[in-house]
Amino acid sequence: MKKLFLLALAALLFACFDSYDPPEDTDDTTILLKAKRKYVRDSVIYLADTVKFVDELIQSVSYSNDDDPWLHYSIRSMTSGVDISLWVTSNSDGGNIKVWCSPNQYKEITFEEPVFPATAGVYKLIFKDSLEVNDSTYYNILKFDATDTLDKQCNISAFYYGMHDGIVKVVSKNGVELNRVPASVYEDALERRAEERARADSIAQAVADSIARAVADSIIQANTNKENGSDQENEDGDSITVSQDVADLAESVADCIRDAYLSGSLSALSDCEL
Amino acid sequence: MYSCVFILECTALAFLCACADIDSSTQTYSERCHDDAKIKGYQADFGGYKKGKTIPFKHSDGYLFSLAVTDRNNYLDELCQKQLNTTLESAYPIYSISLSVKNPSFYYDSDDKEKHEIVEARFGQYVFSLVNPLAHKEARIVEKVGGKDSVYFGPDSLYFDEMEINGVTYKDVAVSYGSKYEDRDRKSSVESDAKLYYQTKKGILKIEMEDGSHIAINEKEDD
Repeated sequence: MKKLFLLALAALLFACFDSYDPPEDTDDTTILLKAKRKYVRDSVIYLADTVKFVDELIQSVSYSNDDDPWLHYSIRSMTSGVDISLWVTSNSDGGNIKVWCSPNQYKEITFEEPVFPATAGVYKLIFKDSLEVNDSTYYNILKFDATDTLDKQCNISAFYYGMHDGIVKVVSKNGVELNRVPASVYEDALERRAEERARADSIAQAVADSIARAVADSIIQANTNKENGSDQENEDGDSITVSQDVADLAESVADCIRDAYLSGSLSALSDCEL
Repeated sequence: MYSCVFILECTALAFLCACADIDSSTQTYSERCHDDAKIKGYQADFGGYKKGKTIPFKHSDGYLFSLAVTDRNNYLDELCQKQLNTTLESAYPIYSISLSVKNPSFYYDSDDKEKHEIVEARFGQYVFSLVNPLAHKEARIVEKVGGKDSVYFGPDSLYFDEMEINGVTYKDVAVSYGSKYEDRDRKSSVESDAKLYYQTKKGILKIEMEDGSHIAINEKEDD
């Protein structure tokens, strides 16, 4: 009886262990995990479209090379809504690839035991040997494809992850491509914007000065008397005297109007006491 | 007659306190947790954002786009805090702006309530705290400098009675300086030169970024 009980117990234990079937660490997952990642753990990259838009992004990667290797990659844009994370785990941790993207960073898309092309619901992972981006060739590319979905989980329709370089391309929901560009493209954009701003500021300053000068002149003209041997002449060539009080008032109002105009406040203009 | 007036005054005061969610009883926090998750006032009115609404914007590099309200969620969380979260998105440029409000379900006093009247805006790596513009207006200190009035604005904020943006004049505009995350985990933030212009009625009017670009509301219709 005792032997029978032990035999039953052993059979039960065997059945239990046998039923545990961990997801396989596929060759494709291994490719990702074994890629020699040489990029700096926290580095800055730039993505630009073909017109003017260029953005700075911070990417980071952490990984383990021990018996249970894993890789975690994330990238966040400084200004735009590109915010992507990729998590690759090995056999004992499930052998899967998880993707997170903005705006729903708390809900992952899981590809179990992925063999490329892999699918998870309406999402796809496709492996490409190489990809041409702006005259550069990137190798071992993983494409995340969300083009077939109306799901609101991701604010992009695709991204291309280079196993040695991080994100090299992002595609917007309406099909605009943002490609990896060198830092010089971003620096040129900063310079261009600074020049445009300086030009706009100088125009605004010139207009403000012009208005302020016109108001000051009208104050002086309305508060002066004709006198011989005075300081200035009017348009008709008559000499006029400008008292210090009037000159101070004109300068004060001109300063007030100039400041109000440059600040863009119309109500501040009405506060300039004439 | 006087007692009648007194009773009316007390009733009005009690009613006002109830409306303002101010609770000075000695019950514990959990005992005073109110079921009503609805957020009212400036935070609820901010931008008039309703799910499905689209707002025209313009990027300084010339892109015309719309920000759509893709999510608006008002609920009471497990810590008895009222939450109101709103998401604005555009397809391209790819923008996601998150607006969040987190309030207790009651306040200890009016000062306690006032300090919670903030809408937090997240845009890329930038975070802005948007205080009620009228609070900025009231906080202005007018000083006489050299015989002239000069208005002093708070060190981290500005207020304009009105401002013209893309051909439209907006009243009661406040400005918030943002902080930004520079680390991967968004644990610590630093000051930034990014600025967000806003008002209660229209919400976000303009965001100036450190890279010299900006996006601004673009409501003027073409003639």
